[in-house]
Amino acid sequence: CSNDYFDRFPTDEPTENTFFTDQASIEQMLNDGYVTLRDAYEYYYVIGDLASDDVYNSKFNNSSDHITINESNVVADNGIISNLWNSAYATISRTNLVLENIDKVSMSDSVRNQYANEAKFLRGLMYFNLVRIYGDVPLVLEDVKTQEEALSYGREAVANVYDQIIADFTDAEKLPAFYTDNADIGRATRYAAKGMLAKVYLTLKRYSEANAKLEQVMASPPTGNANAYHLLTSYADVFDAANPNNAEIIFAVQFARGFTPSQGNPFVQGAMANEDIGTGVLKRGTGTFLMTEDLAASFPNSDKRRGMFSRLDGSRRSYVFTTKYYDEGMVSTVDAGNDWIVLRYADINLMYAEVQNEMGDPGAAYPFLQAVRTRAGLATDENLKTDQAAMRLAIEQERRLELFCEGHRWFDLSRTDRLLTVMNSHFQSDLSNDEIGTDNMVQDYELIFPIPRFQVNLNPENIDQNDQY
Amino acid sequence: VMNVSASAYSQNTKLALNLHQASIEQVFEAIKDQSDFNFLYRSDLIKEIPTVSINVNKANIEKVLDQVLVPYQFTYDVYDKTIIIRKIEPQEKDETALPQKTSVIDVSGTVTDENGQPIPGATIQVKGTTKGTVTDIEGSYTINAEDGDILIFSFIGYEKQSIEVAHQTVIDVSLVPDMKALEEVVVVGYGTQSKHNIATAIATVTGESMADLPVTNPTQALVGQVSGVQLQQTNGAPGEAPVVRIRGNGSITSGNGPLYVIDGYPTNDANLINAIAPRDIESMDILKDAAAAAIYGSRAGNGVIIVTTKKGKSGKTRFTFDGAIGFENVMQKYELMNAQEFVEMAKEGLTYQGREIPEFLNSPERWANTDWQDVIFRTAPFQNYQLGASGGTDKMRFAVSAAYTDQQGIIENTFMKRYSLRASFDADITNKLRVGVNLQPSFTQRRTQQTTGGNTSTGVDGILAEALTMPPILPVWQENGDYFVITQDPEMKTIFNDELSNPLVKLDANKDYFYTFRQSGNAFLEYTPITGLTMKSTFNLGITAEKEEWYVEPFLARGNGNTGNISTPNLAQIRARRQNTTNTNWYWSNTATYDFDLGNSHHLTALLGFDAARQSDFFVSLEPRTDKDNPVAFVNSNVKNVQGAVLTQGTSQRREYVFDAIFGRVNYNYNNKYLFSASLRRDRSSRFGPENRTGVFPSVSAGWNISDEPFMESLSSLSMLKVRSSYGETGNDQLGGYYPWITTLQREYYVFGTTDAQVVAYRPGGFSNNQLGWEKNRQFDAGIEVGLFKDRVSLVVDFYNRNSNLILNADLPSINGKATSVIQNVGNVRNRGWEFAMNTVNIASEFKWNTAFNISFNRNKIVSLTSGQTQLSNQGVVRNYVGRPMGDLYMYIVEGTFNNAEDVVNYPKLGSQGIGDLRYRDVSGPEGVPDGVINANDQVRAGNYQPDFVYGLTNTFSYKNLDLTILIDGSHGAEVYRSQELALSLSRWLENGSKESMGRWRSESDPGNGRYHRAGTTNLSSNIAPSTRYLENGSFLRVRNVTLGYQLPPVLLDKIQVQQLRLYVTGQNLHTFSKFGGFGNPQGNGAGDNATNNGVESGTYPLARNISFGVNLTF
Repeated sequence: CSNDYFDRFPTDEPTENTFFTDQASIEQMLNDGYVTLRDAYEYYYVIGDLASDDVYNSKFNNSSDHITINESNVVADNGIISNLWNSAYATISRTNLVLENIDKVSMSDSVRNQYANEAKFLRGLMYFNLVRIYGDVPLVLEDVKTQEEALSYGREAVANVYDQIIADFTDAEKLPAFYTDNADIGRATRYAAKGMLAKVYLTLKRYSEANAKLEQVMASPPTGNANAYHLLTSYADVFDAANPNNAEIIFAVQFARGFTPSQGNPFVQGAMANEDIGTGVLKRGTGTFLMTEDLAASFPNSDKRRGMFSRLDGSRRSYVFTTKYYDEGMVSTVDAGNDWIVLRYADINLMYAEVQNEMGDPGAAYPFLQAVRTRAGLATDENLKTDQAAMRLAIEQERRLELFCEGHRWFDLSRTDRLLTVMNSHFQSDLSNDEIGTDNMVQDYELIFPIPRFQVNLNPENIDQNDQY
Repeated sequence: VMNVSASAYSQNTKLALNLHQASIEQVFEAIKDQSDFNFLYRSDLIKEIPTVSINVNKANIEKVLDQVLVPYQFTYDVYDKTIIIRKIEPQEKDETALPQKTSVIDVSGTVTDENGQPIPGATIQVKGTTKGTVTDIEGSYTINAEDGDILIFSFIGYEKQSIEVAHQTVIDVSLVPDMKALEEVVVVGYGTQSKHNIATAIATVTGESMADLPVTNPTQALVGQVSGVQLQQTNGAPGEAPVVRIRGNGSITSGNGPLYVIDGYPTNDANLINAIAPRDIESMDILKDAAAAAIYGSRAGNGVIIVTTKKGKSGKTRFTFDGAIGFENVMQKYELMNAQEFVEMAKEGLTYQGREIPEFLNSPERWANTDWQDVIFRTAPFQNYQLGASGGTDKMRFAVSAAYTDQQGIIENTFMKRYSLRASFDADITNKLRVGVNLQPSFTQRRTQQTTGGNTSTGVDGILAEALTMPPILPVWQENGDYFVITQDPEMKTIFNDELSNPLVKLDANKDYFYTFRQSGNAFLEYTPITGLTMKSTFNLGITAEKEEWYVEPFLARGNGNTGNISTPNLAQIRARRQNTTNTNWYWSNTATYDFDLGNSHHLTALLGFDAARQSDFFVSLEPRTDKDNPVAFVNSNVKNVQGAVLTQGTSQRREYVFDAIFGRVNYNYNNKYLFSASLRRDRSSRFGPENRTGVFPSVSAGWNISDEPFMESLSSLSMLKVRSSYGETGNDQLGGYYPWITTLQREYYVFGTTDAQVVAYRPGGFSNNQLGWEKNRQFDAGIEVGLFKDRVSLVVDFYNRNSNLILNADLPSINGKATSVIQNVGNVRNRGWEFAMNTVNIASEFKWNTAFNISFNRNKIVSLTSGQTQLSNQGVVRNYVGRPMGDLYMYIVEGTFNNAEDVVNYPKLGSQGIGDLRYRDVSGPEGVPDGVINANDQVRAGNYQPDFVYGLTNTFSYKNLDLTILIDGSHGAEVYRSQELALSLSRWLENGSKESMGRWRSESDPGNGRYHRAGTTNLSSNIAPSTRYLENGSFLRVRNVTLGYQLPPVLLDKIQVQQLRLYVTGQNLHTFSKFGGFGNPQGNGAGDNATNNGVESGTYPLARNISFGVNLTF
């Protein structure tokens, strides 16, 4: 037989060498950057909410990965910690592939710029999550092609990672302000980039730069434009599966109901108790995303946002759970159409309030806090206008109530250096054995999470573990 | 004048010839035209005969030949229809010229075998002459001989006997089998060879030794019979074959199974050999060392098993019938708590949790007392029948057989049925040309169940765990005929785990059927143009078509609150799928073998060949399947039937594989004493990257038959002594997937928009490697073979060192974002070991006792992985480190329980442990010293699944018509993590537990045996963390088979007109001596055939004990 006889290739799937040929291939690779966000955010709430005082895992599910995060006893073998890491770098690889190949195929400059900047937005977003969860992380900005390359990356200092995040988001500010084609709505926009950049600056306590970005988000698009971001009148409408990408949403990970293969979100499953209560498809879930009694009790009785959580009594205890991810039309607990909101206008309002207060003007912060509370049907204490410290706590509490179960709490407390205080007082409060174990506390080293153990084992020369893990 | 044996045929066949000036060959042709005679002669010699003329009518053959041959100093012998022509030697001519001596007498008699059965076709020859005859169908002969003559009686496979005539006119002879002759020839790659002259490690198992075993496939029949071969029965499902390892695990990424060569067709598909009825097998030759296997180069890296099926032999047609019928039971039941013990445990748990004890638990009259193991297990019938016929004339031979096997599983609603046919035919077209055809179609039906899985699995799996943990006080059925389901019982679901299913529901609802048709057939042409040169061309064509039909009934009540039941079907529970896999392949093999002697002492055999193969796979899956009788539910729960059914998911795939090879081998021996062989093979496989797809595989071997040396003659007790050594390289291309060197992109979807707009995305598959080349084994073998006391004791000892240069899915830091590994030619695994096989004839009188014993020691070691990598990616209980054997087991060490508040303060804890929880040893912290915290640093190596040694012992006894075989096999020194026990966890959920958990912690004053935490624990994840509590000794000694047979005496047989009738009773898996708990199979492995993820018994289908009665009939 001649040598050619052995040239057998898969004929029913594209291969790497032949994939990047046209604009569509770049778009499809970029789209996968969005697909991988779903994984990244499926594990994100575990840090954002489960690790915090807002959410607990019902120990009846025996999930030690969830339990140890909930109880602040995380070890480097934790599967969620590993999945979170892997999924963030999956998105990053897609963006690097797009950026590396985008000049090799022909397309208009405007599309080329848009795709490149979308990629940078997604990359910036993932590094922002990574750096807040793990501290120093490998900064991969090119497609990794060989084993040697993969092993050559060490951990980059937090400050350098932030420089890259700011650079990426700054480039992404050139993205379109909005999209008109339905099949593009949900892609990263200019304002998503500015809003995220503001959050980065806020995290870095660079308030004046945060202020500038927030003002750009709030000022544009011009008032009257249908695309202008604003608070919806009804809090519940923000989360409605039938109302995706509404005027309050600046950036969200997209899910949809009723597709095969499934495009649904998995969050409602975690939010439901792992025992047989409730009705219909929501009869039972996995109990990894249950609201603490403490969070539920924090809402004043007249707070309209109480409508977004509910309570059911099981045989073992009474469960409080969020309905933000509940889709009326779903037939399975992993097929809800509700999106995972990464950035919405209420967050912009509260960040702006925080920036004003930190820049020494609680009075300027007040109306933005008030706007959020007014929608919730609550009055706002006038005394806050002159009390910076009280305003700080009021904003913290408002963020807890307004953005509950949206993955913010841990990062908010971390940003304001309040984690140890809040969490340890939470652990010392009277908690049921099911909500939390006994004698837990967050220690200094636990403010960031361990690097997945295997990633350290695989490359001990370049990747060291965070202290005490 | 002639030395002619007057056969009936030659006497009765009358010829009419009228030829003028014809060549002698034309005369032969004319005779052949009128008769079945054929002629053997040296064509160069008969040229001496000039043209002849003959005119006869109604003449017999002798008359014709006398007329045309004798005048030219030629003579002939007639053996039935075969006539051998030869030149009359000078002295013979003198002899024939003399008048007949008066002392010539007719001698007659019967030749029988050791059982008194007549041997047709045995040869009787007068020593020193060419006079001879053969026995007829009754074994009778007549020969004329002189008084002083010595008659030599011979028959293939029997020892020759010489008897002097000495005035006897009747000489009856009973021949004894020549054991040496029977063993003499072994099957090697592309041919056979005299065992005496082989210098490599080859073990042979005869079909006879597996004939009576009540097993459904040939691999099961190998258990305990060969050294160096380890068989792991990971799962006892009907028809399931054990995992086969020859000399250890040499690969991490590629397969570790041997290459099977079935009647010349090489395949890695173990299913193909396991579809052969064990009784159809003539022999299995296991090529263990690389030099023996190297002729199969590319795919022989894990050793080769050559399977030869039974072929027809010339002679009277033999009919055989073999039947066995029996029953199977679970070999070992799990020891569980009974209803009373369970309730006691449940009350303890509830009290600890501060929950109320429901009235139900205090009312024994309301308890159902169900043994849930009895619900899922059953006594299952087993039957196996085979009818065969074989025989042939001297020009063609045939064997046909039909077999039927029906193995009902010991778990309800599982079975395997196989219908198989086999036909082989070969014919001598001319003296130089032989053709043949072999066909082996089979059809298998199976119904399978998902036995492994947790006890709260919401699919159709987890049946065993459910049967073990379902509270024994619950009933199987409700009064209205529905299944009892916890979640549907308002009272019970408040107490018990409502995710727990009734295991019978799943067994009944899950209808997963597989229908497999396999056909492997070949046709060959063998041509012998000159003496010693054989050219053979074989073409194989194979097809495997497997169809799966899966349907889950709407009464499936999966634990999670569903309402499905017989009276309340929940159509949304329906799952249905139809799948089809078709594999077609062809294989073409061509060889030329030349055998020749250089002088008297030098013997040389040379082989040259090439082969090529192509395989094509096609797979299609549709979900849900649509079917008239099976309504199909869709995700939107609008139930439709076949008319409205729409396929919601379908996938299909097409894959190809091609390879070719050229190869050569030379065997040389000097006086059968000094043996040398060398082979070289070059392979190309489409599985490898374009830059490295060619592999070259050399081998050499040498041996010395010391016992043939003159100086050894004085050592009369030493009947055989051979030393041998070999080195060879073999390859392995059993990589998962057909294009392992190239990665593809997978399609995914995302949804944008204010109204859902699905868009396509592509996910990069990882890394390609154009340079991916062969995985290579380099193996050195040294062996010694000893025979003592006329081979009554024989011993074979082998040492080997097998080094495998791996293809490794080398782990990558996941920051690459695309794949967790890249496939590369890196890493090295070593297997080193000793093998001993001993056969002894202990007693050889009327009472016979033979023993066969083998034992194998293999030491496996991961020598290296990719540069800098110290372990494989599995991080759980099973881990694989450089410098260690594959499959180390890591876990916490249980030290006891926390007995009081003081203990909780004093001892380190895993998570938030408390009183009554298991206490683990604080081994080390990040600094390598105990740090007061229990975390991953404290998980230590506690065992390894690979045994120190495995062994087999077969004793056969016979006395008169009785025979008894006892087969024992065992394994020593392995540790196994019995994770099935995790389900029996004494958790909050009030599930049943093992009998042993009666020794649990109950109170400070009654702390139990220190291995079981308190009932109703709230720290379950800490208590069931991997620990030595679940580690068990995997050593076992199993009475694998005992067979007692009775052969009916010939007197009786004559009356019923059969040649042979044997009745037997046989028992399989009769008893296991082991400390291993659960279902008692330390070899169980949920990961199946996986070398680096093994040693965790997660609840595989338990082994069955089989008792069968059988009959062997020949007529």
